[in-house]
Amino acid sequence: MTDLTALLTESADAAGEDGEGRIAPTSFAQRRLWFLDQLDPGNSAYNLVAALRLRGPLDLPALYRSLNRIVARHEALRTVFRADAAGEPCQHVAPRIDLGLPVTDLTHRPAADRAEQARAFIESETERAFDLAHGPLIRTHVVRLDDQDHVLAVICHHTVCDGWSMDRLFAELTELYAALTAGRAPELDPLPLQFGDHAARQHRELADPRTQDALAHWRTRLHGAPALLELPTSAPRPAVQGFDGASYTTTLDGETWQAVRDAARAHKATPFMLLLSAFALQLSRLSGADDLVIGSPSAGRARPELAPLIGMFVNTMPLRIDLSGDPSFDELLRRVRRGALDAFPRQDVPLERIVTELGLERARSHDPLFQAMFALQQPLTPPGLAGLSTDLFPVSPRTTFTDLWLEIRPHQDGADCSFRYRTELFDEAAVARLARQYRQVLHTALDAPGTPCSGFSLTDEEETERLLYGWSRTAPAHPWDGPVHEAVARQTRLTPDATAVVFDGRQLSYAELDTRAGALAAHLAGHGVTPDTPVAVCLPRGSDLVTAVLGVMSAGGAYLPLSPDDPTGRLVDMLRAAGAAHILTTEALAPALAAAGVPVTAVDTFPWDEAPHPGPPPAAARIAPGHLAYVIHTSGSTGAPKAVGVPHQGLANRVRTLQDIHGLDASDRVLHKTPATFDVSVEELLWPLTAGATLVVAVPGGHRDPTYLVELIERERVTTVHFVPPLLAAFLEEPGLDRCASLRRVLCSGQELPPASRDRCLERLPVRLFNAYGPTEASIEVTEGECAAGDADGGTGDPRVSIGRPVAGAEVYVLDGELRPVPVGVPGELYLGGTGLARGYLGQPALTADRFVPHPYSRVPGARLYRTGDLVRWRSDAGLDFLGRNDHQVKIRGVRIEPGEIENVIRTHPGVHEATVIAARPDGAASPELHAYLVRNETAATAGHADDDAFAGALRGHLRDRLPGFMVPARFLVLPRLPLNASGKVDRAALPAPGPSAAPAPGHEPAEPADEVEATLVRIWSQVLGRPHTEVTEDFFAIGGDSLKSIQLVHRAREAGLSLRVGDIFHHPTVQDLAAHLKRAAQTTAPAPAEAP
Amino acid sequence: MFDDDDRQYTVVRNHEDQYSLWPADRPAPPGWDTLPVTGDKPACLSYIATAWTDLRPKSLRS
Repeated sequence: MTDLTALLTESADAAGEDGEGRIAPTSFAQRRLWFLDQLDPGNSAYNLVAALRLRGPLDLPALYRSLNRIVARHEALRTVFRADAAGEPCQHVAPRIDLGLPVTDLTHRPAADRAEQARAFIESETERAFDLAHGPLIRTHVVRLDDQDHVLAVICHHTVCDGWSMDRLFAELTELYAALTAGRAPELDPLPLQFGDHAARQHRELADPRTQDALAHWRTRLHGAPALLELPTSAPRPAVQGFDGASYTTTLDGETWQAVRDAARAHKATPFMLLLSAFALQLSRLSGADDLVIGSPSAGRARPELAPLIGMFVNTMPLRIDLSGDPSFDELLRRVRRGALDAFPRQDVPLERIVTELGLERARSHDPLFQAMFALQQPLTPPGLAGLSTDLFPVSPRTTFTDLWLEIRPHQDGADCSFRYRTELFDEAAVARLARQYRQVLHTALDAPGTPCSGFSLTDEEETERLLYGWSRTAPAHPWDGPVHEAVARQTRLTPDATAVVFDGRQLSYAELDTRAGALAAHLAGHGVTPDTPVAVCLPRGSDLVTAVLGVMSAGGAYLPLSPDDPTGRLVDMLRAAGAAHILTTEALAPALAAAGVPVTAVDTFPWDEAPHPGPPPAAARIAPGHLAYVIHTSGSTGAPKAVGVPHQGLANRVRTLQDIHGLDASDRVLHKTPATFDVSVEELLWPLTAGATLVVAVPGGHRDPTYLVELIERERVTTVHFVPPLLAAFLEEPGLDRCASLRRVLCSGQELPPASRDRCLERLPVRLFNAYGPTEASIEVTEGECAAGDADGGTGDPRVSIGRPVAGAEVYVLDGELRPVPVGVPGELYLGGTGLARGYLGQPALTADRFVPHPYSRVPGARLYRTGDLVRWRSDAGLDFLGRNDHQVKIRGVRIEPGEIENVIRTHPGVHEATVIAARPDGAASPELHAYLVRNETAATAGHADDDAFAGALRGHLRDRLPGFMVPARFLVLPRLPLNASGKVDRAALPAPGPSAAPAPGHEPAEPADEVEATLVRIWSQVLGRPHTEVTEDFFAIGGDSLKSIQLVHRAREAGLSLRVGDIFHHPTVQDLAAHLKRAAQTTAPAPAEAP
Repeated sequence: MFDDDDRQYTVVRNHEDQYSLWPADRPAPPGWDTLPVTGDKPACLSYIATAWTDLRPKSLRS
C-alpha cells in the first residue's frame, strides 16, 4: 500500500564477516531475549520503536549520515547473536554496517489521512521480525507527509537497545544533524566503553561478594512468592502465551497529579511508591491475592560511565508486595516504600539470574516471577533538530511482553496512565474498566489514606449504581394472583376435556385430574391439613404423583417430596424433621412409613370413584403469598439434608416467568422426568397444567435411560424437556436422536452446562436451548438465558455457557466478602434477593439466620438476601457466568483454580464422554493435587488407546497443549460412569479415591529406556545435565534443566538425528513423553501412501 | 463478612420477626432492629437458635 522508494539505501548485508568483528559474551538479559527468540523465532514482542515528527525543510542526506555516525559509534547497534558450539549465544560486532534510510512517500494520499497512514506503516514495520543471527538489529525509516513534513522512525531489537538508549540516540542525532547541516565538526565525547565490555564485566562481577549478597537478598525476598497473578481475564489463559498486545490510556488531571506528589511527600515516599501501592492494591483486590510480585524496570545505568551508551541496560526488579492482614493504604505505602528502598541498591542483579536462582524457568503459559509491571517514566522531552520543529510521533505497537503493564508518564497537564495488555487475556472494554478502577483506587487513596485495603471500592458510583440497581434485575415480579394450583383450576374450567397427564399409555383429562386432586384435598383437609402444613409425598413417578401434588396444594398444604427408593429410616427422619403432618404414599410403603407417627394415606389404592366431589376445599381461599407451596431437601456440604420451605408467591412468579419466556400452549407436550425431590420437578409438573399443555410422565428411573427417553419423546410427540447437563450429554449421544423431531425446546439447569453439550444439542436437535440457574433456596431458577451455538467470540475464547440474566422478580448480586459489588468480569459470590427466596431451613433457625441475611441494597425495609455460596461473574453483556461452588475452588501452589475450567478442556478431547475434576489431598501429601475422573466415549474406546493408561497419557498431552501446567491434573481415573445423585448431578463425594500413585516410590526399580529413541534421549539428557543417568520419567526442569540447557539439548538431539524444537521440551518434559511425541510426529510426517491415479 | 471468626456480630430482627446477624460495627440495613445481643458468630447463632421458635413470617401467624 505504500510506495517504498529506496532513496538512500544499501542492501545492508549487515554484520560484516566473522572473524573481522569483535566477539563478546552476552549480558544475561540479552541471553534471555535470545532464548525467547529461539523459542518463538521471529516474534516481534521485543521490537522497540520511537518516532519523531519533523516539520520544516528536512536535510535527508544529513539525517542519513547522522544516523550512520551513531551506528558507527555504538557497537551495540552493529551487533548480532550467534550460538557457539556449546549452544551458548555470543555477541558478534560487525566493524561497520551501512544503515539504510528508506523513504516512504505519502504525498499522493489525501492530506487528512497521511498521519494515520504513517502511523499504521510504522506500526507494521515495528512488527516485522528481526533476524538476530544476521541483523542489522536497527531499522530506520522516513515517511514523507509533504515536502515540509516528515516522520522519522527508529526501530531496534531490545537486545541492543532500551528506552533510555532511544533518548541517547535522539540526543546524539540532535548534535550530529546540527553539525552536519551547519558544516561544522560534531561535538560528541568519545565513548568510555562499549556494550560488550559491560556484558563481560557483568559476568565477572557475578562472583563478587556484593553481587552474591544482593542475589541472596532477592532469593530470600522472593522465596515462596506466588507463581501466577490471576487477574480476572476476558479469555482463558492459553497453554503457550503469545505476544499480541495493545494499550489503553487514561489521564490523571493536573490537580490529581499534584495531589499524588503532595501525598507522597507527606509520607516521605516518592510518587513511584504511591502509584505502585495503588496499583498493587487494585491487583490484589482483583485477584484475591494478598501477596504479589510486580516487575518494575530500572535503568541499569547506575555507573556514570554507562550513561552515554546505547544498549540493553534496563533491568526489571521483581518487587514483592505484602498486602496481608488488610493494611490501611498508609500502611501499604509504608511496606511498599520499605521494599523499594531495599530493592533499589540491588537493582543491578540481572532479573535472569534471579529467575534461574529461584528455579522458575519452565512455564510457557506465563512469565516467571511476575506477570504485571509498573513504571513511572520521566516526562518526555523531544529533541530539537536544527531548523525543524520536532515533536514525538506516538506509535503503539500491537505487541506486549507482559500480561498487564501500567506505565505512568507525567506531562504539563497531569499524567498519562497507559495500560499495555496481552490481547489473548483482555479485551479493550476490560482494560478500560481496569483504567477506571485504577483512578478510583487512587482517588480513595488520596482522599482517605487510612482506609483499609478491603474498604476500597473498585467500582465507581456509576458502575455501582448500574450493578446494584440495573443489572441485578430485569423486570418486577408478577403481582400475586393466587397460588399455582388455582391457575391449574382456572385452566381446567377452560379446557376440562383436554389431556392433562399421559402416563404409561393412560391419560387423565384436566377434569379427571381436578376431580381426583379435589377428592384427595378434601381427604387431607378432613385430617386437619391447613395452609403451611407439610404433607409428605413419597410416590414413584406417575399420574398418582401429579394428583397427590395438586391434592396437597389444594388442601392448602405444602408438599414434601420424598424418594420411595430411599431407606425408610432416612425417610422417617426427614419427614419428622420437616414436621410433616400427613404422608401420601403407596400401599406397599405405607406400613414402614407409619413409624413416623402421622397419618398415612395410600394413593395407589385411593377410592377415587367413591369419594364425593367436595368442591373447592375451604382452605384454598386462605392461602397467602407467604404460605409454603413445597418443602424440598437439599444436602449441604456437611451432607445432612436440610428441609427448604418455599412459599407460594415465588413459585407462582416462577411459573408465570416461564410462561412469559416460553409461551406454552395446548399443542405443547412437556416431559416430566425430573425426580420429584429435585425442585425443577415442581415447575416441570405444574407449569404445563397452567397453560393447557399436556404433561407426559416418564416411568420411574426412565430419566436415566436415553434410549427410553428417545422412544418416549417420539411416541408422545414431546415438545419440551428439561435436562441436567450430565444427562443431556448422555442423551445427545443416543444414536436415534433424530427421532426426536417433535422437540422444540430444551431447558438446562442444575449444574454447569459445558459448551460442547450446548453445541452438540443445537447441532443435533431442532430446538431452542435455554440455560438457567437457581438454588433450592429460591423458587427454582432465578436466572435464565437462551444459548446460541458457539456463543460469543465466534466460539473461540469464551469457555462458558452463560446462565443468562435474572428472571422477572429476582434480584441477583455479585458481591465480595464485604458485600460490595465486584466489577464486571471479576468472580464474586452470588447473592439473591427479591421475590422467590425460600422461607428458610425448617426447624433450623440458626442455619437460616446465617444464610438469609439483611439485604443492604433493597428499597424494601427488612428484606433478606440469600448467600448462595456460588461463584459467578458478570459478563460485559449483563449476563452471568457460573464459575463453580465457592467451596470447590482450590489453590494449587498458591494459584486459584476452578476445576470447571479444566473439565471443559478435558471434554474437548474426542475420546472423553464426561469429566469431573476435584482437588484431593492424598494421604500424607503436603498440598492438594488435581484428580480428573473420566468416562470414555464408547465409540472412541474401541478405536485406539484400548487401555486406560495409554488413554490417560494421550489426554495428558492434550491438556498440556491447552492449559497452563499447574492446571493439568496429577491423576486421571477412568470410570465406567460418573456417580450421579438422585437429581442426576455428579456426586463428588461418591468419587472413588485413586489407588497408590504410579509415580516411582523410593527404592523402586528404575524404568529402562523402552527403545532407541528413549535411550538416545537419556544419553543426551545426562550429558547436558552432567549426571550419570537420567530416568525416563524424570522431569527435565525438576532435575536441573533450564532454558539454556534446553537449547543445548536441542542442538545435541539434532546432531543425533532427532528433530526437536525448544518448545517441545516444555510440553514434554520427560524422556518418555518426549520420545512418544517424537514418534507421533514421525508418523504424521511420514509420506502418505500414494493415491491410485 | 459473615464468615469471619474474629468479627463481632449483633443479632438483628425484621418486622416479620425473622432473625439474622450483622457486623456489630456497622449500622444494620433499614427495617432491621438490632437486639442487645452481640458476640462472635457462634454466640449470636446460638441465641437465635433458642429465640426464633417459629420460622413463619409474623404476618402469617394467627
